[in-house]
Amino acid sequence: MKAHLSDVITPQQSPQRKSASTLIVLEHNLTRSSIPFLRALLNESLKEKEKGIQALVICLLYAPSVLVADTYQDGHLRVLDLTDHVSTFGSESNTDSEAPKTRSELLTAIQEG
Amino acid sequence: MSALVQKQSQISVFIDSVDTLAKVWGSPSQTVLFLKKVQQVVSSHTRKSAKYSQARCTYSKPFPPAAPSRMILSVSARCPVLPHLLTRAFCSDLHHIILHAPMLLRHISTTFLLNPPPLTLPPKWWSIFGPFSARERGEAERLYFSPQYTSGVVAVEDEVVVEIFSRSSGSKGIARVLEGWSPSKGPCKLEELEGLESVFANKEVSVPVRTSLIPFSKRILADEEQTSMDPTQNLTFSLSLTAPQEIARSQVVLPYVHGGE
Repeated sequence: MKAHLSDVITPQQSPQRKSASTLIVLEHNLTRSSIPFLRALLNESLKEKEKGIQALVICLLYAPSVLVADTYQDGHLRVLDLTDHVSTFGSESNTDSEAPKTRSELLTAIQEG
Repeated sequence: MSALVQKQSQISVFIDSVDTLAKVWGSPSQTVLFLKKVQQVVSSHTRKSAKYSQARCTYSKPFPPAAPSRMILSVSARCPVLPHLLTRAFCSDLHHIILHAPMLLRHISTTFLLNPPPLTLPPKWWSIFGPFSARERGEAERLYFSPQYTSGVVAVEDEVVVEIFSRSSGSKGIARVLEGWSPSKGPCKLEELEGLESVFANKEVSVPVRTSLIPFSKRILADEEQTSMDPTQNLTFSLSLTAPQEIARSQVVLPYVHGGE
């Protein structure tokens, strides 16, 4: 089994692949931000729009403009900006009521996507 | 039909910060459960797409297999959720991408005198780099911001050394590679990173060539070249014997040598 970065960035179907989805865990640290790499992955996903590939971006930490230059993208991209929701969380906020709401909101958005 | 068309597409779900989710919910287990639900939704999306493709194949020309849907999670190295995401139980098809600063490889090159593949054999490299990068994840940040590495070194901020672990449900084992990446070049070899020029400068690949892979005729020629070289020719004293000396030497009776009687 061989892995190349170009194969990871560009989604491909392998005949050996059995599962229905792939998980990409992008681990970053203080020395290297994941933002440029996320942007590259997103752009590559949107390049395949003629094949019907869509992208759903859930922004919790960064504003959508950090990741996406053009949020319109002919309807192939959906951006869910939850940065405002997240900023209200904290020791003062009532996380018991807010967290399930956000959780269901996220799941609904993904199912609709 | 429109619903089917909508479901035809694969989806890539990006979550920009798992750390934020974990902080919001205050519990790694809750975060993992939520992400597992998302993963199931993403997988079901692909299955629906596959059904649509099969249905379409019966009426028209064969439809190429679609790429699987993807969930892309951005996680910091210190996030408590990270180890749970890497398990096979969470997802069997995994690409774990770790971003390193090129400085880390320069540091290993100067401190351990060990250069990345292909300058070093991969097993030797991974036996040092694996434990070091895991142990030094916090230390790497300290190294990165220390004056030793911020002065006099070409720092190309955009360049990244990418470590990739890949695991697939269809094949055994994992693949582990190091590659370079920059926003301008995209994926590239490590040698092409400006930040690693000093590591790869004037160094030859040390991967040994198996003798069995060399053609037999070339091996004979190489042996002849070796034998034709006389190592005693430039000595200041003579090691060779004259004919009478060789006869005298052969007549010497050596002690403790039995004649076979």
